[in-house]
Amino acid sequence: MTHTPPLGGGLQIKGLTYQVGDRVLLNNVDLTVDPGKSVAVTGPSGSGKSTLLMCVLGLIKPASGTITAGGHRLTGLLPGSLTKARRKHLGMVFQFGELLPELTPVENVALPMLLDGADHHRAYESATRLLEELEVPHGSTPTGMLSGGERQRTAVARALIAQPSVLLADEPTGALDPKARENVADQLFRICRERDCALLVVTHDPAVADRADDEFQLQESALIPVQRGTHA
Amino acid sequence: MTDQHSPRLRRPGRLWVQLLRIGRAAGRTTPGTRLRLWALMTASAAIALTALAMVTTSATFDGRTQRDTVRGPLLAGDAHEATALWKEAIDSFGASPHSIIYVEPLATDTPPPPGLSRWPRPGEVFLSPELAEAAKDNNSLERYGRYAGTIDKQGLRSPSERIAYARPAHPPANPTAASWQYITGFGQLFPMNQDIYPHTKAETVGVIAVLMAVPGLALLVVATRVGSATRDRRSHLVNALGASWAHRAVMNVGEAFTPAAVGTLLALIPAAVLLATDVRLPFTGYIVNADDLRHAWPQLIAALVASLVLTLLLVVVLHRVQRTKTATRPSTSSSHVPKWRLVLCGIGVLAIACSQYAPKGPDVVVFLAGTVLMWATLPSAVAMLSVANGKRIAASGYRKGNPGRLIAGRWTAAHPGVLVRLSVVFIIGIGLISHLQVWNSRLGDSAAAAKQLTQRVGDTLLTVSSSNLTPRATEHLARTLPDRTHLLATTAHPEGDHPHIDLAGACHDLKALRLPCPTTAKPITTQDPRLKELAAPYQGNLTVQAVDGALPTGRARQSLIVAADEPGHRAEIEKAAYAVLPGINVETPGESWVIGAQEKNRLNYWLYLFGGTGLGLLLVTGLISAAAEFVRIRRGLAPLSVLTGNTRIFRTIATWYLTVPLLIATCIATFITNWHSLFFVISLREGKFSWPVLATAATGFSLAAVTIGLLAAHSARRAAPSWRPEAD
Repeated sequence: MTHTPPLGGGLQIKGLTYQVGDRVLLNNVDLTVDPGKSVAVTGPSGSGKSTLLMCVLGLIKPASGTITAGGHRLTGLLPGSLTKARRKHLGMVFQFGELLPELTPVENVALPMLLDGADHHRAYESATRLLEELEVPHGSTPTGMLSGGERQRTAVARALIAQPSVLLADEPTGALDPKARENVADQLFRICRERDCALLVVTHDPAVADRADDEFQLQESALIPVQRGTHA
Repeated sequence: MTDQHSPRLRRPGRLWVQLLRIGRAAGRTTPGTRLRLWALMTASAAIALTALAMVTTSATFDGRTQRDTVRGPLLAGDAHEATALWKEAIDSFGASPHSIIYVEPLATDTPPPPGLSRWPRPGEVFLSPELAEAAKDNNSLERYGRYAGTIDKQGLRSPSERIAYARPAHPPANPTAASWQYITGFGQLFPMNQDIYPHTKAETVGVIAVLMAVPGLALLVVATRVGSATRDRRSHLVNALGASWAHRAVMNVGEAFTPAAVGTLLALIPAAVLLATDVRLPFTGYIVNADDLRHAWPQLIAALVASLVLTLLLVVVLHRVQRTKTATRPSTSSSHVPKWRLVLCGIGVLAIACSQYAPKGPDVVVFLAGTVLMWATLPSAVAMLSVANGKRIAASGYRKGNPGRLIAGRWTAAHPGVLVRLSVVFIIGIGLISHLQVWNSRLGDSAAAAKQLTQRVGDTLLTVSSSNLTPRATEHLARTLPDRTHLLATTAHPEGDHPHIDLAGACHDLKALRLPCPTTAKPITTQDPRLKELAAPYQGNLTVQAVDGALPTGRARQSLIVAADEPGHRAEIEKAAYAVLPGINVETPGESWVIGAQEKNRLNYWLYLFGGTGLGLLLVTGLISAAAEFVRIRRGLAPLSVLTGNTRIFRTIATWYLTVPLLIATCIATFITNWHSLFFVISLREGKFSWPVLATAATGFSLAAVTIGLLAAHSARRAAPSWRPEAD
């Protein structure tokens, strides 16, 4: 498989502001994640980390600012165009995977391609290859019977099957034991690097954040760069 | 741990309160919370309503027996010690029969029958409120004498009873000859104004248990398991943390208590109405006496408390931690259908088929046992078929790259319990409708024939009979009959090879019936439907003879007929007849059969009442079960549909996951119902099986299957955009 990074790829966020009532969660936030690079955002609960991801995904509308993924502007699009752009440029790994437990891992991973109307043979083939790459068993066992780490790696594979320019991960190891956490984090950062995919990961886990090329802390509605070695 | 915390830990009461609080808090945050809340509330209300129905039934039967005992006449051993005369006669308005109790006090200080403020004066009548209404409708309020008022409900078996207390205008000259009873008062159980409701208290409670409690429990099971995945996970978690079954039970009770208690309290509304006033039941027209339930208020409270306890107990039992599991991981197909249910279904079918070869008596038991077994396990059999079908659908979806079929197939194969719950409504619903129709036709066949007879004969020919009909009374009657009516006499000869009935009357009266006027008895053939009906019990043989002077009456098998030139004289004729002879019997030919048939037909209304309520509960069960699946589809697919923007998938999944299996269940239920109903009709040689009714039921349930699929897809599509990922 060949991976062609899109022109002006990666993720650019400029002047992003989001508020709920009088409370400003994101205030004029700027962030750039280049293709193949990774950025970790940490911060206390309720600081607005997940809100940042929701804004990038287009599930909530910011008050101002622009978001560009894979060279395509996501802000200001009509719902239909936004969905299309999201499908093409963004992949997402949720904390709890959000997989269908009754389906096999291959079926779960192939699902985004099938829903996009892609050739199903190619979808199953890509899914199998990704699962092998992430060391997930891909037989007829339902996904619900896999271990937590295997399920989360399946979720990573599903997020990458459409070859997005940007991968978003919301606490991808939050529900895992230490060993599985290490394994999933290793695979997540490695595969994004190998595929030239910009990775924005939101996490509480310093071990996960340390793996990123850059780390920011979301404090008082702003992203503050973290000097490495300052974790408590 | 410090010592200052120790006293708090030593108070176990605090732990239970804490667990209850945890359960209550969980009830507010679990997925599908609102649906479960409403479902549990409805289910506990249904169980409480069933308990209320059972207590009301029991109290009503007790009250009826008590009032029957109080008003029954105490027969005197000797005429000298009697304080009153008493006799019962039967009459009817339309097709509803009633008793007229004739009374004649013999002593001034004798208390009147219960329900009467005083003895009726000579020629007066007291009517029960229902009978007074019917009499007014028939323009016959004074048929038995001057209307003096209504009977109080203390003297009635139920406020809807039709009965009259009448006193003849003149004391009977020869009471014994006129079938009067000498009585000393009232106060023993005596068969009077017997109704045709054939079931005992226990049988009626049994019918309520089958037709209301079973669907109510089904509803409770479904309601309890709405959103059960989260609850099961919680149970396993607290179990792993060392909680005992009692701790888990308290948490589950804490979660379910509020909706269950509100549901039970809702049943207090109908209970309050039943306690406050007499209530007429729908379909049957029966009026429940509020006094009966008032006497049984402790039982009522106990039954409502028991229904709440039962609801909570079932909630606890249905959330047991499965100890047979070999893995700690949540299984995706834990709700597999046990194979023994399929075996039981087969045994049920076999029992039905073999019941025809069993000896008389046990054959009914075998048939009924087979029926219960088959209907109870058929949904599981259908679900097993659906599991196999689900695997096929998933395989075809995988082969063709159709994600909707793939997901629907996998879901169907992994969650057969969903289909069992949904298809139970479809299968039992179709079966219940079809069987109500067969039962209805069983009892209604003769009613329909009777109705035809009434229409054919009309009210222009009435038979007037009494064992005390004397020539003098006949002469009196002839004088008081309205104009344009004709009095004739009949003498029946039912015995021998040539049974026949003789009709005798004055020549001008015979001519009014377009009959010849022979001086000696002459067999005739008539096309008059009234006379044909009169002669029907005698192989249609009718002879006619003109008489000059008194009509032949007063002997055995002799009675009178009154023919009217035009319809509408019946009330006047009856009034005249009752004035001449209390207790006289006036009816159209074949009327007693008509009344009997209609009375039996009215038994169907009880089936409609209880069966209809049960069917309603089943429908609610189906709706809640379907709605729970809507929640599941919504939650399962929202992330993918949000990210990919594909919302068409919802319709495909709903079609293959809900509509198609439910259509299969409908087809199987229709086929089985057809076989079972025909078998029932053939075995009993009674009733009729109606294809149109079954076809209508099958069409209705097929439309419901399509609607459920469409609604599920619509609800998921609408809710998907508002989905947001959950994270800690």
